Amino acid sequence: MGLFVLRDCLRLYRDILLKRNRLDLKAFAGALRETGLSILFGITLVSAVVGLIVGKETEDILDKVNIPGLLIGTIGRTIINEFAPLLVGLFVAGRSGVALAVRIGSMVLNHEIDGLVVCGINPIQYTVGPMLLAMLVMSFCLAVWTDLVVVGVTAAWLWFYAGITWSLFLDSLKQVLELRDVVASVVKPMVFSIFIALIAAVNGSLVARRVEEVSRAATRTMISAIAAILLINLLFVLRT
Amino acid sequence: MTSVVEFENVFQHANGRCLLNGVSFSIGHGESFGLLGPNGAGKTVLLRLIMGLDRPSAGRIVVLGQDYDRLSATGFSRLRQSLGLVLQGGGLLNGLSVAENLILPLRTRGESMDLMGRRVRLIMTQLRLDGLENLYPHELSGGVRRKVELARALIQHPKLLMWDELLDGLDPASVIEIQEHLAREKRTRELTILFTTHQPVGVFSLASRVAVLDGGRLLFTGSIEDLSRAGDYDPDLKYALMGWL
Repeated sequence: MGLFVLRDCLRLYRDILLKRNRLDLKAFAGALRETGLSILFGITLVSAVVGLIVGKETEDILDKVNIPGLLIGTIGRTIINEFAPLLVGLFVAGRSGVALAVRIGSMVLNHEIDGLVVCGINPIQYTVGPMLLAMLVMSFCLAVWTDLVVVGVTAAWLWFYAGITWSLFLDSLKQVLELRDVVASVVKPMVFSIFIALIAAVNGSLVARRVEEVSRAATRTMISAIAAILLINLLFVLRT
Repeated sequence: MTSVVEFENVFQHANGRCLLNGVSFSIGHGESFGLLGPNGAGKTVLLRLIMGLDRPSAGRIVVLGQDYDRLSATGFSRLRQSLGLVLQGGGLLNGLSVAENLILPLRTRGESMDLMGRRVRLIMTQLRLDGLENLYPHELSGGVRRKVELARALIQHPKLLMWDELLDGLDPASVIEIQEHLAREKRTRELTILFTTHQPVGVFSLASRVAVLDGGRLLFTGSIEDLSRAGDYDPDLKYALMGWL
């Protein structure tokens, strides 16, 4: 079923590009707000807190082992390669994935999905289509933002408390990071988003008659999405 | 008279229950067909099958000459442009205004925004919904919602209009208004109407032919005069119609 949803989404995007269909701008704007702006404060706060913790821990280790280049490189690479994409994935799953499952479930209960089908419209156009597109755009932006905040706060802490200059920090990162690491760090959350959207769409569509099923769909989406994120991340790690 | 809807021995099962049990009937072009039956009789199930929202477990359905067994998903989408359905319990998109909801069926036709806007204004005037364009479904009363749902079903000039639980939530003035509008549509566009109801009061004047459905079985099909006579000698039908006639 997830594959059918993905196929219909791709067809929708193709038709939009070929001007055979229109992107529902209202739904897309709402989805952008839901997937990005509504979690921006939370993800910034968490990223900053993590940056502070990593900075403090690194400072403590630097007191004992004075090899700043290796330490900063290792920590920076872990943040950019693993931590930031996972954080974005978890936030997107928790906010957008659950919201999408609840929305589709409610639309099934309120016969809104039937209403769209009756009008000859594929429901994907008003549900998963705009949401997935927004999730892809926002995952990219949030990944870049999270990288910047965590790395920036860590670097600021180390500069202030451990006397690590910005140029040393950046040079150490440059030595361990390759272009593909940076690309992977923004691509990974986008891949997570595709799976999150499909999991949410399938769970939301399974709602049949009762309101309780909507909350069940939300919980199932959250758990399945986290599992999927970790598995996909593992595949990325094993591949590199 | 050519058939708009044909059911041949249609069965529908769900969760181990038989919702439709060998239903066969046909509706002719331009007819106003009333499907009567108590709650849970299978009326909505039947409408959903005609609309292609569900597939039958067995049997043959032909609507506007299209055999559902041979119809692709694209074929269904095209056919739906000739069908209008007013669903029981909603169908309007809560996130869209009244005007945006009314435009929905026109979107697949590639019409210009200007033409779509004119059609929305016209149908709203005809059903006395002026001034409600920018309201959202949750801001409307139950009766007005039903009228908006009817407007959405009619805006694409369907050949077959289906209305689940006609008269539900409508006040007498709205019923008269809608009756007049549907009569006009029937005259000018030869609209075929299929409606269901569990409250037959006032419905008999709308229907040219009726059918009685109970427990998924079709107990009767014919004119209203025949229905009152049939009730005298068919105990099942009499029981189903208890208190109606």
